[in-house]
Amino acid sequence: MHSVARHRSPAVEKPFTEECLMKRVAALFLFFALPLWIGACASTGGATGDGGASTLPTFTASTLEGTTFDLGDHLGKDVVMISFWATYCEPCKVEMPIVEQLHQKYAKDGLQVLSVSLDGADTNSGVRPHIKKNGFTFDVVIDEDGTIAQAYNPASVAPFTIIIGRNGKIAKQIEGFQSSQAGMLENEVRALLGLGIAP
Amino acid sequence: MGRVAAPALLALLGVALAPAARAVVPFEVGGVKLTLDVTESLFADFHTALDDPQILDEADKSNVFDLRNRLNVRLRADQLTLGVRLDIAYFANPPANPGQASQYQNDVRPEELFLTGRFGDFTVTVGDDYLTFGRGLALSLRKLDELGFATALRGLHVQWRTPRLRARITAGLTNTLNVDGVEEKLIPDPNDVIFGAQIEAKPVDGLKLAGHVVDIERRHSGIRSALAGALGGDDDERPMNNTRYLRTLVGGGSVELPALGDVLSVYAEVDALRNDDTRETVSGQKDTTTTGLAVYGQVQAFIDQLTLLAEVKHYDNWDVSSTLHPDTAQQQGITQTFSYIVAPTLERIDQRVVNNTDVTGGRLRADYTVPGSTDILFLSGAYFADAPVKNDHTLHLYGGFEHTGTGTDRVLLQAGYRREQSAELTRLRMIHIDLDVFAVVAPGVDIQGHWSHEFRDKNVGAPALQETYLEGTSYVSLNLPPEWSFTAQLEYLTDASTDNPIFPGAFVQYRFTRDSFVRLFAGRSKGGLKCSGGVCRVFPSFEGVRLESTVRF
Repeated sequence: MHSVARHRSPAVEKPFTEECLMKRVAALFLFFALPLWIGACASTGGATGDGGASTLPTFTASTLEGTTFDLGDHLGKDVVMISFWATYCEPCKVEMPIVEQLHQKYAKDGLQVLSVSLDGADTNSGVRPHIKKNGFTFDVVIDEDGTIAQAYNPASVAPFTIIIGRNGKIAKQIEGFQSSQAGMLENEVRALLGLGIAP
Repeated sequence: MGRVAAPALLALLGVALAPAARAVVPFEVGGVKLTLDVTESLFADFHTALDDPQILDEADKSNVFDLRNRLNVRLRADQLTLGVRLDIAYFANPPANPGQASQYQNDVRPEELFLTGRFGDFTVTVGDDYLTFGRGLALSLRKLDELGFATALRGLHVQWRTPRLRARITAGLTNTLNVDGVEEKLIPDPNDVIFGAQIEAKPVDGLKLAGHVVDIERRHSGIRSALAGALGGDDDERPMNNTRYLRTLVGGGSVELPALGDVLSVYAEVDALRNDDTRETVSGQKDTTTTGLAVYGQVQAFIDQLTLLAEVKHYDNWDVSSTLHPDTAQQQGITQTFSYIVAPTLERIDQRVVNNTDVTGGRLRADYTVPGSTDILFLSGAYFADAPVKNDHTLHLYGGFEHTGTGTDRVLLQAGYRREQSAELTRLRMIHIDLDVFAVVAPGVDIQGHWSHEFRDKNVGAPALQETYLEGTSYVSLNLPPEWSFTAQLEYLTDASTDNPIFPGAFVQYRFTRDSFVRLFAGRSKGGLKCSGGVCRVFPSFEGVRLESTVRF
């Protein structure tokens, strides 16, 4: 098992009656469904706006090299790829060379890659060695508080990739990684960079 | 509404939303641009046999249906984010457990609720937030998995950040994940009050200094009674005869040289704690104070093809945990608590660590990249004194080979030996082998395979207690991206306490979009950390059928 002890304390709270539960479900469903419905309706008019200003939350984090990464510096200017991974995630390690290739090929065209490690305090000592020994050159931050995941990957899964277009809007969210889809990922990045399909 | 109709409706809702899933929903209200981001996760389980030793009647454990739903909503406007996670748990035919209060209860609650905003150099969060100080020795409140352990601090968190300075203050009540995905039981919030402050400074390039202090006020402390009683609404009146710490104060600091000459990275942290304890005794109230110490150090070196990682730890009485809830402790006889720290173990992530509160040890790992290739050879050795218990010693050596292709294939093969030795006997002797393989076998066809196997000997030297058994996990996935993934799984555990040592199972996964899927599992699973279909997560022990769906839009 994971080395972090999952201490649990089963206990008792006031029991729900079925009627009470259904009322709470209905109330909460309405509470959430209404904004969703309004949002979906409004999107038909709002999505075609100027597309320039991003509504995505920005964050600032220290990279492994000690520099500061500020997402706000890139939103609306670059194509940003945020790639969540962890040292204990084997599929992530398959994906990372692809991310490095994209970084190497398209950084000059405006692709900004940020690799976000979901490692907690008990495993993050392995982050830098993994990056160094594989020769990866993209920016890496450790999401020590989990706040980047809270904003962009609430389920905290890995691998998980978000690609933000130059209009500052999320263009792709990709959960998992399949090796045979590497070409598709590159074409999606190229399309957002305005480079067309890879030769 | 019928008992089965509600979960069925919710399940259908999740699945029905999937085909219409989009990346995010941008819209505009009153000239304000907004973005709505929704992640909806649904888990519906049919347990043919619930694994719960607290349920006394075997018949009571069969045919239990439960549904857990997590609806994550993020509404963003400019620099503001409003986040809500609504959790729903519903049980059909839960164990009655006559004579005992049932912990399998229907529940609906906003498990996370926060508003965060960035104002120049300041970031302010009101509501639930996760945070870690240093290497998690003083405070680490994190979400480890969507269905696993997650304790947030519900309160205020203010951060001021400049290129040279970062300061944080926080205050709030601890909010745990109430319907636990591992045990599926309802757990009350401890509502301990935590105050924390941290300052990090970079006086010169390449040097980071940090200091932090944490105050945890638990049940029956005056501050907690005033704040948690008023805000949390739970009682703080019942006397308890158990030992309990009213207050823990933790203070410490760290020094970090993240990139010394591009060949060296150094981190060191020292923390001390003070526990104020009060207990009721026959002769009246007894107050005692205990102290603890934690020292952690890490050096990484990068010399040509060689990568070295050295870590040491010394923990003395290093336990920072939550209050015992009186309902839990007195009615259920359960004395486990939630840890508010994650002290580095220096162990493999899948290693079961019994003692990480009073232990001293270190590890050294060397990775050698074969010149001109992406192949890596590695060797790791660790030694711990007073582990797993006082006066015992633990030794763990492992090494292996790692090949990572250019995004199409990967092989990891490693093997190791672990011994946990006391003066009288060998508590554990283990040889483990692990293999992971990823490959593209044909255009549009990927395979993923995993096998971990452990030969285990327990209590060697005590014939009456000695036991030799095997434990392992294996699976093979055939992936036909982007839509389909098929996984066959076989786990085994041959120890004396396991009636049926074989755990077969199978997954079928269908992706509606790149970020939304539905997955069906049938069989038995002994739980643990697993990766399937390109995603890793911690699975609970299980026997039956599980429908899992994640939809993002």
